[in-house]
Amino acid sequence: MSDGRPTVFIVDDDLAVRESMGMLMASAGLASCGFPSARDFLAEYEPGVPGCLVLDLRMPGMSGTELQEELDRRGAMLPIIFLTAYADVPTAVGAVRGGAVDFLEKPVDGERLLKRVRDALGIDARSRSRRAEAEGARELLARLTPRESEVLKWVVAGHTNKAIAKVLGISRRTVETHRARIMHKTDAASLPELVRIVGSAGSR
Amino acid sequence: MPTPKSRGAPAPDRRVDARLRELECHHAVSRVIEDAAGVVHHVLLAAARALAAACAFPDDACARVRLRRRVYRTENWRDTEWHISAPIQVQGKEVGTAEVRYVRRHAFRPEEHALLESVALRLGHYIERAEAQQHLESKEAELRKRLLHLTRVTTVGEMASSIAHEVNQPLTAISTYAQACRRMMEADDISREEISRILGRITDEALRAGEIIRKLKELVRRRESERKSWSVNALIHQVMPLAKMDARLHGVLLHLDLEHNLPPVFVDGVQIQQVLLNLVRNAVDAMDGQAKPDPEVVVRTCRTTPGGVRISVSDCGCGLPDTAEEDLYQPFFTTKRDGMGMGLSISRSIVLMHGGRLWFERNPVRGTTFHFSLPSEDGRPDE
Repeated sequence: MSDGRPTVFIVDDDLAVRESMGMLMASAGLASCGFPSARDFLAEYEPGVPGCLVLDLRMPGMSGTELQEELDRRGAMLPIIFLTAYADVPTAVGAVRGGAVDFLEKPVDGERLLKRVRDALGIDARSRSRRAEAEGARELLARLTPRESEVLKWVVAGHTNKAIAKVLGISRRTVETHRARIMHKTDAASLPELVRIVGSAGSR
Repeated sequence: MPTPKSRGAPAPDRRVDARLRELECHHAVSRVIEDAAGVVHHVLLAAARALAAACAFPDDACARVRLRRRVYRTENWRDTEWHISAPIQVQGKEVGTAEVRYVRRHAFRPEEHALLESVALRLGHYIERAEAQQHLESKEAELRKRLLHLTRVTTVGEMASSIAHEVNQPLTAISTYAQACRRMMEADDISREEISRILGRITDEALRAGEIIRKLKELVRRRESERKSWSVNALIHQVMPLAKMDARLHGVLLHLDLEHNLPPVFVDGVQIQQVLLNLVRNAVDAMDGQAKPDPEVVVRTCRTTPGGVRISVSDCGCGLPDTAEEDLYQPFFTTKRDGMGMGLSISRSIVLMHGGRLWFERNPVRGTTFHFSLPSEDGRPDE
């Protein structure tokens, strides 16, 4: 589908609309790929490919909002820009609440669409790097033993070694040993860095 | 029955002849009233002829019937002095006269007077009925025309939003092609060939938008019924863009399954398309809010024996209530939340007027199929 470059996925049942949108993207140096239906898109979509969706709201078969729900179910966090012939307010509100980046009326202003697309690609890139970081952090934390994890929880909460020893009913020495192993295993140079890793692992 | 032509026949024969002529005259008037099926001037002309023929000297007799300003007379009519006449009355008011004349001197007999009076009386009754009927029919026709127009406009109104969407597609493509093209030209990153290709696309899309608008106009225009030879499949193809738009707006797929080489039908194309659109719209509505995935409506055509065409519209929607058979075709009956209840009643009268039939079946699994049949151009109503 793509070579890792972000791709603008255009889903619209109208060939001319798909083609012209593709040209518009190309004119801005953006790679794009068109699909005549939501199902066609789902059949080929690989979550690993970065990009965003330019999606017609009303299509035969699966509608734009249904595709949005399906992607949500699959945990794919592709930013969506909805296009529609007329934006009826309840649908628009629902779509934006469902995480759509924007809602543009057809025919669209090309510059505005391109701006939204770039915004969406930025959002996608940031969320991907955040997710990659979280994934890395979770991997680091997975190296810890249950006891080390227990100690980590108290460390991150800002308790002293002494307090932790008291709560866990172990010696201060033992806490210090656990702590050193934690720093080593997570490759954290300082307490603030350790806190950041834990925070990032907790995010999606 | 030979008409006696002898002059001055003997007395007993004369009475029998007169009686026979009288009967024959009444019979002729009755027959023409039945046959003419409401065409008043046929009846009045035939009555004039029958009156002249019923005279004792039919070769010398002429007759005329006057109704208001119109006059119906036998070919040999002449204004002479030997005549008798009787008023034709409708509801006690004189609306015309029935008149018999001899072109040469003969005396009219009492039974001829009596016959003329009784025929004039019958004509009065007949005219009264015929005019009442005509009045009714023209009112009904006007009403039907207005209803047809109304439902057409209503259907169009309901479709307006989907049409807006459909016109928007080519407009979107046009504006996007143009914007992309301009951006590339500004970046000096486009060849002449590419520009020319894009301009071609823009033209195509503009024509497409125009076509949609033209179809809409055709649909709204109020017009007299006009029958001609049509291929049912062609009628369906013509109306598909509209039907598809409508289906699309409700997220429903519309499929065609048309039999080839169907016999032509002699119909008012727009009216049949109206029926079709109505059935498709009902089918789409029946599936609104139904379980997904892929709700679809199928339009089928097939040949029937002997020599007709059947058009079927199937949905996989909510089905009809058990009591639907009784009420379905009644005006103002509806199972829809915001329906007017006119569609099926009008559709059925359109199909009936074309000598066909409209009915429905419950599908074995889910939904309903509506069928209507049309006789082929040279065939009779099927099934």
